[in-house]
Amino acid sequence: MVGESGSGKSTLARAILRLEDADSGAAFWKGQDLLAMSPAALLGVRRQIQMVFQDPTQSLNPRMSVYQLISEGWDIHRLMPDRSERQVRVRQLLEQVGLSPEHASRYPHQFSGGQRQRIAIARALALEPELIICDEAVSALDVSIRAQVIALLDDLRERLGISFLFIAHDTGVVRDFADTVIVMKAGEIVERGPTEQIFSAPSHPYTQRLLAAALDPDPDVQAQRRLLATAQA
Amino acid sequence: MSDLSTAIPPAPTKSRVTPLLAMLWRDKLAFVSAIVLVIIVLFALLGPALLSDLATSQNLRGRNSPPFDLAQGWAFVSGGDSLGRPMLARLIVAARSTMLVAAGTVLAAMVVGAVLGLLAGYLGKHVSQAIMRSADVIMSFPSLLIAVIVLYVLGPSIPNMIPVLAITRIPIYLRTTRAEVLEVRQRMFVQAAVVMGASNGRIILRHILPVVAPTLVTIATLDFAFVMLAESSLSFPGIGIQPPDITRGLMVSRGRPYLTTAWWLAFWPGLLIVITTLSLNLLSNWMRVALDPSQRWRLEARSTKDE
Repeated sequence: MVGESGSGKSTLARAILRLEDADSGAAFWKGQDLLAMSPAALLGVRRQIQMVFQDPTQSLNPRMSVYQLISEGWDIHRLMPDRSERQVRVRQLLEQVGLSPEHASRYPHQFSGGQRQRIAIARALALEPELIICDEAVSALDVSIRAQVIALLDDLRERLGISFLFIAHDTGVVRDFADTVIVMKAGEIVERGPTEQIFSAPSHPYTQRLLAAALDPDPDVQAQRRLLATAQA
Repeated sequence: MSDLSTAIPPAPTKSRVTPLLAMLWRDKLAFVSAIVLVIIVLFALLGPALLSDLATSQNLRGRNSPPFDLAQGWAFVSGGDSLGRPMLARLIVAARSTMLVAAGTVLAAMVVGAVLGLLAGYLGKHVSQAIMRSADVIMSFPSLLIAVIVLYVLGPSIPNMIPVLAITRIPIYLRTTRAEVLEVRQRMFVQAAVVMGASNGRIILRHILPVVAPTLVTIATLDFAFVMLAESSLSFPGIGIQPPDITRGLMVSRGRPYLTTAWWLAFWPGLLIVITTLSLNLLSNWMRVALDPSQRWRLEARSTKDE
């Protein structure tokens, strides 16, 4: 899902997860409307849909160790009562996201931004979800770390078969990662379709402008494009 | 002190108490404060049993006798009061009522205020409005008036004084807690807990309370001194602590008329109030650091820093 800042991408994600109340409409998950669900039914769905937030510094409770952070979901959903089993699983999860198992007893402030986001991903994976919503999950990270985290997510998607709802304003990231793209503007979906189609033949003028606004890695091409754009205007 | 320093060095064992003691040892001010508080608590526990006869025995030759004069016996080392009772014994005996009233009031006000504040901050608008408006009612009511009414009806005693004093302090904790909760609940890690399906109780206790608690403890320690003095204002209309019971606040207010002639009547209890408050404050400051994982390294041994 792409769109400019303020286009309502995050709000849509938050509405799906019932962090914000939707005024109207419906969001269907396996045939059930998430927005009209009873608290008890919602608790079940909370296991299946997890979220990775934009800023891992804020989304991890600074007073909880990595072990506590990752195992909190099991406490909430009364899973895995056995402590040793939990410890093994936390270690596995940490390895899965590319951290070392010894990190379990540390606290979030002892990690770098990219590592923290890995912890957040491990936390999301702990409940074995079917869908992970990534709200700008990589935009707070610097470029090299961003590539690593995206590679990690890609790997998880292939190995574990998890679906991702990936929210970004960076069209390049989306192009690499997504199968289907939704373009949003001012709270509306203006275009949706398979990634190649959106990127090669965008039909909506906003999508065309959005793609044109993305910087090209080649400065010469970029200069050419800028000339073209000013000529058109 | 030498045996203490050998008993406490950082021996990282499995138990939870030892690292805590080691952290306390590392902050010398907090360590001294803890010792002072232990002594005061001992005074409060044992003082009345051992010294209450001495504290009430009058020796009219020792009326307002100056401190550091051993002519009247060791008990008069910090002077005698206006009825010739030894100040030292009275100060020690007063520890019990003082601490009982102050600790009881502060704890009651803090717990009630925090619980209501958490609810007001986290639950919906209606609950919040109901709680906050009742707090406004309490705040607009002259606290001395409540005290006079309640204590005339129920009779002046420590168990009656605690709730009366506590009620007037609740709004402070309530408002602080609510204001902090409103901010903390918007933080991402609380939202992350919501997404995972955490219940309201879990979010409040595990994610919000630990952030709010240090502020509350700091206010509570400052409030301690206020309550010790406020309690003495109740004895002005005659509904405070009744003789022969004594508190430090009462001693300060009784000593005030003699300030120009016998300063020690108000000075010693005042000094003890300051020391107690200061110790509590230093200890709470240490606690705030010790309980915060991102600050704890300041108190941990330098050798473990590069683990």
